[in-house]
Amino acid sequence: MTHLLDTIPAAAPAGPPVARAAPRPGAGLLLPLALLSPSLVFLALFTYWPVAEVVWDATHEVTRRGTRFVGLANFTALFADPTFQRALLNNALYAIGTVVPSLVLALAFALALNGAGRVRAMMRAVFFLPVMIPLVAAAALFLFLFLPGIGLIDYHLARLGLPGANWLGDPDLALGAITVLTVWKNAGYYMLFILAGLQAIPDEAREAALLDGAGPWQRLRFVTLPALRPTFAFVGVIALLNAVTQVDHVFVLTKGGPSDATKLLLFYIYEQAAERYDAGRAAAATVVTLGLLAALTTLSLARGQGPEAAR
Amino acid sequence: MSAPVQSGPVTREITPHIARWVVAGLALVWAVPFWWMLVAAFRPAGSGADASLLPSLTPTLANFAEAWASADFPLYFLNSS
Repeated sequence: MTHLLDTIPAAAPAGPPVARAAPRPGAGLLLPLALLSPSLVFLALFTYWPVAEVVWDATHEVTRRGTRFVGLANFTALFADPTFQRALLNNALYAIGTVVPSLVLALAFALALNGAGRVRAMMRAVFFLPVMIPLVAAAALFLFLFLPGIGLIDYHLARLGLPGANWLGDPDLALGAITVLTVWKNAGYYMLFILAGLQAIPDEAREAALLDGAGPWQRLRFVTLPALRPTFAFVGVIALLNAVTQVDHVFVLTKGGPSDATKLLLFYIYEQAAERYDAGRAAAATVVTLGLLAALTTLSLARGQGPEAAR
Repeated sequence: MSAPVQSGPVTREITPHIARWVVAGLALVWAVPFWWMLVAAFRPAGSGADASLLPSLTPTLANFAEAWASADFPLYFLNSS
């Protein structure tokens, strides 16, 4: 025993080396920093410098006489602009109209097509096809579908004896038409993530629920959906980002019209920057959009992962 | 062992069955734009309605030749790659 006790104070001499290592962290940091510096330089140049630039633009006014600091004036002007309010409302409607249906459809697709089989594989491929074409090409395709009178939809509605509509020209319908295109384009992509999530659910959980006499809706509600919670948090964020950052179809189909019915935030920013040359307004709108997006993303990820971490 | 659990209907429940048929119907709807694109690509110019989903009885490649000649596609491929 004394032998063992002797060894404990003997650990004390190990102190000095630790003390000598104390000045080292600075020196130890040098090599990692040197190795990281190329990435850090590019990160700073192409990620953080533009952010700083946008904030600078948002708080300054550029006139022919020069540039001056205006504080939050750009933001007050932005929020007073009825077009911006319309764009914000449009984008909220568009986000709800695309995220919710495409996630519900993706879940239905994944539940029905999970598993082996040639027919299932073929149908999975059909749902994934729209993901593989560029959004611009999809919009060009749907431009013909939505043509008034002779387009695919109106032509077949007429053959059924139903009245058609000017899908992209009617202010009440245009945003809906854009939403349909987006759901068609994205549901297959989200299906892929949910399929992966379904694979991670152990068969035992389903078997146990079956033995307990759970019906299909109960199994969905109490076994499948809770297990898919992290998947939905992730896919929801992706879908939200898509609803705000994808604008190609608006350019191809409606260019924000008719009477601002399909003006989304990104299109508004583009118009302010590239057509009205109002860099301050555009930068302010960018800051607001990114702030909203960051807040919603944080909220969604926190809600999706909180109970999972608690379990 | 786990394959029948995954795919085969263990129970005689009707809901999953209906859901599968609904999804199959949606797959047809999802394929319509692509089907129309294929049909329209091979349809001779000026033969009937452009919006018809029935394939032409006299398919042609003329549309492809016209599209290829209409723009500098080799350059676009080079730009993309």
